[in-house]
Amino acid sequence: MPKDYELTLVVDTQLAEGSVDETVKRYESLLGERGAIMVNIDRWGTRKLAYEIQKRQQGDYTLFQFQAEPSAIAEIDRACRLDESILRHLVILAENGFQSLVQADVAIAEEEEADDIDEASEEEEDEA
Amino acid sequence: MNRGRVKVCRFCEDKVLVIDYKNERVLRRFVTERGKIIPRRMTGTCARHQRVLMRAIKRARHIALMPYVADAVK
Repeated sequence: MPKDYELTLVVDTQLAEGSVDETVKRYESLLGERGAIMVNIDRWGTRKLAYEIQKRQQGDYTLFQFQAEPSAIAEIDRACRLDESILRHLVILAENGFQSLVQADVAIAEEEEADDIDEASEEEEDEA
Repeated sequence: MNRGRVKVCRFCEDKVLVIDYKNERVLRRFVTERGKIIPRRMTGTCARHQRVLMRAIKRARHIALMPYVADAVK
């Protein structure tokens, strides 16, 4: 039974053979070869790393959301580990379905609004 | 920040608000400026959500979306 997985790749922008796009394509086809059904690919592009990795300050982020057999995951993980142009990779099981960032952003906007209301009502309490 | 006064779990209150390692903007509210995870006694998060939150923060740290240690001064 295939399961839902997410793979986040952080590609070294300087070391990636050819271009970052090629590296991403290579992993897309690698996943395909391992019988994965691609659901979504999200290119976040280059962003600053929260901390330095191998003297690099930035990396190129790509998120793959796909369905695959659990047995294929070890191989995918190994391929990422051996690849020097990958600064970091993360494979996770999407237990509650795929989360997209767009959805999440809406939720934050709502929460921030709720916070404002909270603060306003608290001030009133203090006055009373 | 009124860290000490929140009584209810944010994530129980708001079902739309999902905890996800990709969503650094949500996670950032639950770490100190140094990058440490804030204990749930201060944030009011319930045990279950704190656990999910912890996992997400650790994942985010691994892929360098969040710092393990950050400079205290901004």
